Amino acid sequence: MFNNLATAAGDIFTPLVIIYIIAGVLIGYIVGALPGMNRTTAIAVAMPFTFTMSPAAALSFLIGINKGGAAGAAVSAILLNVPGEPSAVVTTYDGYPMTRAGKAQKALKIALLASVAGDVFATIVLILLARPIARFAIGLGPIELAAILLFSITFIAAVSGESFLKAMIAGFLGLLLSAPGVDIETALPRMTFGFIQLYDGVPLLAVAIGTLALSEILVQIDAGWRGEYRYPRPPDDSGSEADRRLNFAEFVKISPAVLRGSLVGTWIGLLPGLGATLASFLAYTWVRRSSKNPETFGKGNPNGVAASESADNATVPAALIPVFAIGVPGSLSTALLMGAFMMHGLTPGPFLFKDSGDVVYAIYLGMILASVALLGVGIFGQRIFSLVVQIRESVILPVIVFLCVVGAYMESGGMFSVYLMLIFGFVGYFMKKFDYSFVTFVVGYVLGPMAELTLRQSLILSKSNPAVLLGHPIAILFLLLAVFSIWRFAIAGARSMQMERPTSEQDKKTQPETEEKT
Amino acid sequence: MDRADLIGGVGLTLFGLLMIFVLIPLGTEEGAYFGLSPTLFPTLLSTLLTFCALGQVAQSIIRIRRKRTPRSIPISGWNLLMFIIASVLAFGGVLIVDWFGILIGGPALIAVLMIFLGERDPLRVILTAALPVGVVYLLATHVLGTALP
Repeated sequence: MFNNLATAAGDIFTPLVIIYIIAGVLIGYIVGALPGMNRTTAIAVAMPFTFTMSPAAALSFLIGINKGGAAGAAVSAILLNVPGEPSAVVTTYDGYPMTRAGKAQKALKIALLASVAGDVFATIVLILLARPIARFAIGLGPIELAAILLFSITFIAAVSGESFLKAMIAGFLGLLLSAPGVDIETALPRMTFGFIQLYDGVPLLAVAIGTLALSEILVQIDAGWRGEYRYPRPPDDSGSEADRRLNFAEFVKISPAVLRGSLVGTWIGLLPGLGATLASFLAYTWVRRSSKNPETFGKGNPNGVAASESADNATVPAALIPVFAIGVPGSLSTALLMGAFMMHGLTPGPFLFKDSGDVVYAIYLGMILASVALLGVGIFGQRIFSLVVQIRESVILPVIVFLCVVGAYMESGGMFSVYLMLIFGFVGYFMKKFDYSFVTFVVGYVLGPMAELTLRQSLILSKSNPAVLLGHPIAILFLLLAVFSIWRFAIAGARSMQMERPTSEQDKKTQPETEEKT
Repeated sequence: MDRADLIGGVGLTLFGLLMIFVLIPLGTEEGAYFGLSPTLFPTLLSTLLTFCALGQVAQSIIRIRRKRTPRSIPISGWNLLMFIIASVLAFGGVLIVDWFGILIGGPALIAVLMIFLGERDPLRVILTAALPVGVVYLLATHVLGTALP
């Protein structure tokens, strides 16, 4: 362990890697602050630029974007009442009233400190939990792994949207997309249709950039193409120094809310598919209910901002626990990060600690460094980010389309990926419009090779006899959990939703959404 | 959304059947193998996809007949027109990148999209089109050492 830690420190504490991490946090913060943009888009577009980095530097850079994006989303939520991401919707409840009361700078400081605290808390939990879970998971065989994968996909589909069937369809499409390429067992080309470029499978970045970044741009273009700036200027602050600063006593007052938010965010982040939006919503509800003055929430109570932001940011490291320990992503951003692991020759899962222990420790150090960078970037860049939210969409969107083209090209060094990225952009546009889950689609695509391998191994080991399952209680448990999640969340959930439809726009705004909506 | 779901379900059912009976058998090379067929996994997935799509069709028909949900159109004609124009412009920009390289195609792609999005300030268009391309070009070729088209 200490050898690994020493090697990891040598890898991370170099000027270049530190610059990468700060740059990642900065990019994430800016993208998060821009209304309509989200960290998933930023990670997808930034992934090709990590090809020349070491695995630890690349992953720390991408995780930095993820962390920065989660924190940056609060900026537009507080200043403009427009959440940078769905998970920041809850931040608008008290953040914007604070801005209207001339306390924008204070609200931003609370959001930043709560974000960093939630992030650090969940990072520590990740470091403490991932290895023991991985040790346990290392004893799991292909039958158990196949059952866990089935449970993950059905659970994500069950909680990720209004229609379970649509989410499952998206999941199967994602899994199917992982099928083209040379067959792992027979080495025969499968569904390549004569394209040599598909022998290694459908390129990850073409899929990720197309469906997550380009499709988002196309949706935004068709919605607000006239180039008029849609958001008002934030009101000026009151001019009072007390309304700008956050003193120690005030920080102590909000710390219970921060702790509650961190706990909720870590727990929700651990579970696949639930996402940061639900975490911030639950944390906010918990803090409001336990408050002596619940009527002050929604009118500029700093605890509301603290709870929402700490929960939102705690989900980022927590969602990495299943990726590190068993190799199963639970959200769009972690699915992309898992893709980045594989792009850099690492296989997330129980063997990651055994095969690449030094890289794991380097990523841990990188994550801690990213937390420090988050604090620094937030403090020194607060006024700049307040201006960033005013940049016109007619400037940002075309630049991102250009970056999508460059990113797709850099993966394979050819235009095939770029054309493929365009096709997936168009497909993603219709998926978004017709409400097919992106989470199950991307998770299915990333998990496809592992799902196929474990399925094949299970069939061979069991000789296609289902009775073999009786000797695998863990597999039975996860299969039962899969059935339960379908029944509880998909069927029963759909029934209750039909009975309790929101009747107004405000009601719709308060409905917790999953990270799928990003 | 119900009618859109119905159309989507029918389309996906046809896609699933096309995969099972045409694309997977045609797209997989024949060869000597033992154990499990390379077509097993995609065929299984396509079958499950087809069943889910059929379920969606049935669900949509039931909802339309009961008229339980209000009809809404996920894409209006105007949205679709804007999407088509934006897609054609993006595709055109990529073609220019393919034929003439990133230094000509990149600024062209950005400028055309900016003008389409309503930007009319020539200085802003020129600067936004030129600066990111220059920065990315220098970053890719001189810092990261990778090739660009």
